[in-house]
Amino acid sequence: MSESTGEVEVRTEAKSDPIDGLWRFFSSTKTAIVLILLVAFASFMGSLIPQVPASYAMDPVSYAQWLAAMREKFGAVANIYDALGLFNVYNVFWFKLLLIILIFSTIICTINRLPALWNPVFSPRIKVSDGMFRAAAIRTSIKARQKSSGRGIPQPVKGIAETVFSTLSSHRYKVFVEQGEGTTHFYADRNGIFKLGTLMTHLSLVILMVGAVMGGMFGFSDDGVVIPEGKTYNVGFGENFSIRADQFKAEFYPDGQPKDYWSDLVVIEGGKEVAKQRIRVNEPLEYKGVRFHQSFYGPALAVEVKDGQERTVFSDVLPLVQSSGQNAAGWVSLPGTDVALVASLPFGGDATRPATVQLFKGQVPTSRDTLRPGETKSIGNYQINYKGLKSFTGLRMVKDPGVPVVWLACTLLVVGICVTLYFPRRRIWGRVTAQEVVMAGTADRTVNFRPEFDRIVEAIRRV
Amino acid sequence: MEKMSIYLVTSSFGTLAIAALLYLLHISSKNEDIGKSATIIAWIGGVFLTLALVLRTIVSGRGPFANMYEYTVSFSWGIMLSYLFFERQIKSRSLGLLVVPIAAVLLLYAVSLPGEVEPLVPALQNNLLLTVHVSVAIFAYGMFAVAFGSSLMYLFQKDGNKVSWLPSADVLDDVSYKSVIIGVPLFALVIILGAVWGNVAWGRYWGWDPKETASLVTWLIYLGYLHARSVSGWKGTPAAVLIVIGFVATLFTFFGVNLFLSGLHSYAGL
Ligand code: HEM
Repeated sequence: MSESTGEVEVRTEAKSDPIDGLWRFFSSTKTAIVLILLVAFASFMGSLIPQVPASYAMDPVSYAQWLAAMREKFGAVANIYDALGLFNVYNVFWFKLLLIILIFSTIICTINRLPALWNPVFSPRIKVSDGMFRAAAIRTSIKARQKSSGRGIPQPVKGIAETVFSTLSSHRYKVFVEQGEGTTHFYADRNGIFKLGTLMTHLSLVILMVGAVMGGMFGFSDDGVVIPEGKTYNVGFGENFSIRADQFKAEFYPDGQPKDYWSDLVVIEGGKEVAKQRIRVNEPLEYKGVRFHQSFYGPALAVEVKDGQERTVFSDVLPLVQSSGQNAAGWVSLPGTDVALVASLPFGGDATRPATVQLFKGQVPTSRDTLRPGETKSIGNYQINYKGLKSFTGLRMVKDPGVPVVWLACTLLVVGICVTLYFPRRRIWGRVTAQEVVMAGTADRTVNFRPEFDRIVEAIRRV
Repeated sequence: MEKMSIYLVTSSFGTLAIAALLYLLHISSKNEDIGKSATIIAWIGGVFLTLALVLRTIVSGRGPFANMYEYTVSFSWGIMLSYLFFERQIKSRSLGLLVVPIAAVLLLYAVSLPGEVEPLVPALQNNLLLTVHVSVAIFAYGMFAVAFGSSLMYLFQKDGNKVSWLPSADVLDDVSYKSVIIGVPLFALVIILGAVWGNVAWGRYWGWDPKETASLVTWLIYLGYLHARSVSGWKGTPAAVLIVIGFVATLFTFFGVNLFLSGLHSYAGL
């Protein structure tokens, strides 16, 4: 409260206004539509502009390299994309903020509509005005047969009302009654409860977004996990297990199309093998909520490099992950030197085809030669032994705790849509007096209501 | 059997072309007998198509949805099924004039494509999901084709049912609505099953792949129609125009994405 009375009124107004205004802002359909369009537009940009792989985004050095490649491709525009986060749309803060606001708005929208949805279902208006009866397009009036006793006491209204209600019930209507003086008012609806289907549909959208955001916040993914045969890959992202790829195999149709390819993966935790599976495109390995999908593959070279003093500086399997023209290529910087080794191998051909090995000092190529498997050559100041051709397997690694939530939302969405579309509501208002039964009906636009209404009236008349 | 299946597709094209002609004759002459024979011939075409698809399924050991040829034949089958369902429902043959030719033209296109049974690439080797995902899509597309037919006719009938041999505007509006409310939940299911499959195969349920995006946009157009009808009370011309636009989007989702854009779904190309 304020000290000066003169200001109190102004203050209270100002106090209630912003909240009111915010509520109105978030519950407006226009806001919802604008938000949806913004999200759709941002997602669309995300599908047009190349997105940085997760493993690069985490590491500033690889991100800088990746960005440099994008600058070559897009020119100066790349800097704008970078500043706006358009290279990583689905993870940039404003996109997440937008999603959260959208969820918020949908929730407020839903709460706002709740009474309007709820009341007609559970506490509908039973008494309506004469004018409403007169204006109704579908209505009828059934006169009671005059069976009154000589003293003019009307036939019990109760009996007639009972007949009307039981007829409506047998036509699957739910009847609400309000007793007036000499008049019984009633309201009956069929499929009234299914009006809540739209609530289900719109809530499912909220749940869907919650699921998607959960994936982004509590999950991770990496499209480019490369494991050469026999090697072990540390999962990272706070998980303390590793994956070893024991073997990779691919089969082809005679026309060269891939027929099947698979990797034998072993999960290693605490030094022990805890799980083992052959994964294929449609058969991922899942361990502790992290899934490993077979995604791509390629050749890898077992290489040993010795320096002038016969010391082994490098002995490992080098995956040829990049493709440059007709070749697969891979590089490694030799530990403890400023020399990088680049190996490349033509796609296709048999396992004995020669590989090209090139040495670079910084960015400058210094020497090159070709080797067959098993061969050792001295290239530059190094003895290089191409020990044999292997494969690497390329995996997509993903953890998404939001997935079950998303499936729940999808189920609710479809059920909600079906309920709404296939169970349209019919409603009948009426009043029963000793002399007559007056009824007026409306139904959702999609129902041809008159024949049904007439059948009910006919059934009541017959009794 | 593979040859047999291809012959059956060719014959069903011939049969449906004749049926389309008979529908035209029936509608312009109002002759009931011609109408009945149109229906019978349309059913025969439908049976040929069914046989062709069954044979192909037996030969390839998987659902007939792996390349553009099979996909197009299945689309045509879905249209015929939806159409014949509605012909019985509304007891009027006039929709046949627009819908049966669509099915026939699709078959003509299919006949022009290479029709050999092809081996499957690994991503497609998940039979159950693929089969359900695509067969539900075929039904949804069929319903959208019927809605398109009736909405197009609606646009001719809207000013006082001027064309006496067409159903009244009210009936057409109703047929459009009914086929859309069957198509929309089915198509939602298609998108969701696609997401389930994507999650298994590629580890993500949604990736803004062109086919996914196009399907979503198509679905949103029909959803827009439903909202316009129930929330804003649209009926008539704007609603019919929305359905026509929806079918253009459907065709783009079906053909355009596979033929013009590259993405995970483009393996179903020619
Ligand atoms: C992709 C998103 C959406 C889906 C799947 C969806 C689905 C539906 C469905 C199936 C209906 C019933 C239609 C009928 O009665 O024929 C409906 C009704 C409705 N929708 Fe949506 N909707 C979506 C988005 C929205 C948005 C963004 C708004 C606006 C804020 C909205 C507002 C409404 C309203 C006001 C109704 C009227 C039904 C009622 O009384 O609750 N919807 N929606």
